Amino acid sequence: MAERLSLEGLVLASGETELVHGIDLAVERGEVAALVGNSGGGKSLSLLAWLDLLPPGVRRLAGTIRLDGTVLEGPGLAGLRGGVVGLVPQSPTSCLNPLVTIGRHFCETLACSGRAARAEAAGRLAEVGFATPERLLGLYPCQLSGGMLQRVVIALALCRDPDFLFADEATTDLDLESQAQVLVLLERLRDRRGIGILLVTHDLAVVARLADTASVLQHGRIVERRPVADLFASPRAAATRALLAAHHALYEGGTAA
Amino acid sequence: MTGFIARRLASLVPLLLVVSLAIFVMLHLGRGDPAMDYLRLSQIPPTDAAVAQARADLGLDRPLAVQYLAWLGDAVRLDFGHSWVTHRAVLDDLAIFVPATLELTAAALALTLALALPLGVAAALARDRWPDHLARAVAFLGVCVPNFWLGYVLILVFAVGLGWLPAMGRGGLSHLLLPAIATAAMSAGVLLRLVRASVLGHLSARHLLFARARGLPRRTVIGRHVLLNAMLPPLTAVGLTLGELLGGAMVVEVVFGWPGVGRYALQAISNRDFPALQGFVVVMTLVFVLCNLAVDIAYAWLDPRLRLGLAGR
Repeated sequence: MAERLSLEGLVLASGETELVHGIDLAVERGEVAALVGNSGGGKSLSLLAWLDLLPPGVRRLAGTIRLDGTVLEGPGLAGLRGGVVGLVPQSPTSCLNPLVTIGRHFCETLACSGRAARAEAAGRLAEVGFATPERLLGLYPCQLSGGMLQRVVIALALCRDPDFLFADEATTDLDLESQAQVLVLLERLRDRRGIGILLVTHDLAVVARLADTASVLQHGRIVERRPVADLFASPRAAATRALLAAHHALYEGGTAA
Repeated sequence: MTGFIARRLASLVPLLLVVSLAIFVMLHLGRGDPAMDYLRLSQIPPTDAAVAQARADLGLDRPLAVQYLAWLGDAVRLDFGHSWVTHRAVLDDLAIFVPATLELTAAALALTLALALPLGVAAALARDRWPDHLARAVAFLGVCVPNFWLGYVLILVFAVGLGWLPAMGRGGLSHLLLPAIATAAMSAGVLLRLVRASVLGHLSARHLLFARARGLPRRTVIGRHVLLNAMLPPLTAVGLTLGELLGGAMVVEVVFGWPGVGRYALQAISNRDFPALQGFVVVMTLVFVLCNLAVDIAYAWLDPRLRLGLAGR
């Protein structure tokens, strides 16, 4: 069982433009690390680089990825997908094939079929809080709400019992009730299964609730990385203070700190 | 699903009414006297008495609306009248010639799919490498070459020159091959381009990121999540292609002496054989619309969003 997955000196570029300028990230078992920052800062790309899933046109110019000290490259990174790292991509409504049933998504991910696969899939769905998971298996993605899809996507990402979970804006599109459900679920995963979670978000409420440490990413650079309590109590970087101020203004009606 | 099919079948009725009325009016708007044509084809000297007799026999002395309703009344009982040329029931004539055309069209469709699907997929997956260039060259040629010209070239090379295949007539598979190629070439070229574009489009679908992130093998990602979805737009095109192939088959029939309905229709047009033309148009409309209904059912079966009435999500 892997203990630590790390990324050092990641540089990403699209054409001549450098998007991410040498960032370090790490996630450890039983710990929730948050990566926060404004949109367009390179948060999602940094996650994808980890699994060698960068979109066409974006290249990794530098960066060392280590799993418990072993350096991984090319095929090794592809080998992380599913079994070592479960990825929950942004916007759950576009994560599933609209022509394929929920049950078949599970069967192909579990790499088995028939009654055993259905039972296993139903168990996985129950784990993310569905009361009657069997009913879901025959449905198509278009028949589910955004909150349900988000939990289905998380269940699929966890299908191969990964040691780490990368959650990219896993609560952003959800209503408050679904958001709370997902947060409880992530918390339980960490506490009961000891999964290490890397949480990408711009929502500081989620960070405060769940994360142990937070890294603030701005314009492709990490400007501050500290335990969450310290970060909220005494933000150092200007970008962190701006994020906190915006957060307070939005949720507490207060003025900029 | 049953409701969907029933609604589509019900919509056939007004469509056939409009088509038959339109062709009826157009035929009777044409110059000349149908009674004279009838007498000429029956080789009866057109005396005044004979013309008057023919008018009365054919019902041409009645108003056009009455004539149409009379035709319609017979047609719903599957009686399309008698051809003025062959003097046989139009439906019996069509029953001889239409199956030959459908056989050629079906063979051409099979050939179109057999060429367009694998080549289109291969071209997309090997974008800008040699399979792509090859497939695009084939598509380009197929679209450029007129079907009747291709028919003559195929006869010249494979029937006259190499003597591998028969040049004329209807028989086994060997008779079918050359006319089917001539009919299919253009549609295959168009459909190939469409399949290629569709696969390329679906290669960047967002759900593929999650499929790959789950660690699925490339085989599953391409086979289930790219190709399945990429088949939807070409499927719609197949319905339209069928019309193209039916029309093309009728041209190619003439080149290969294929005993299909194309030659029958051509003969009916040049002789102004009204009952034959009217029956031909209605039956071919029916064939085309039913084929498209089959395509739509296949589409609804593949795409749950359509089947469940959730289009747009």
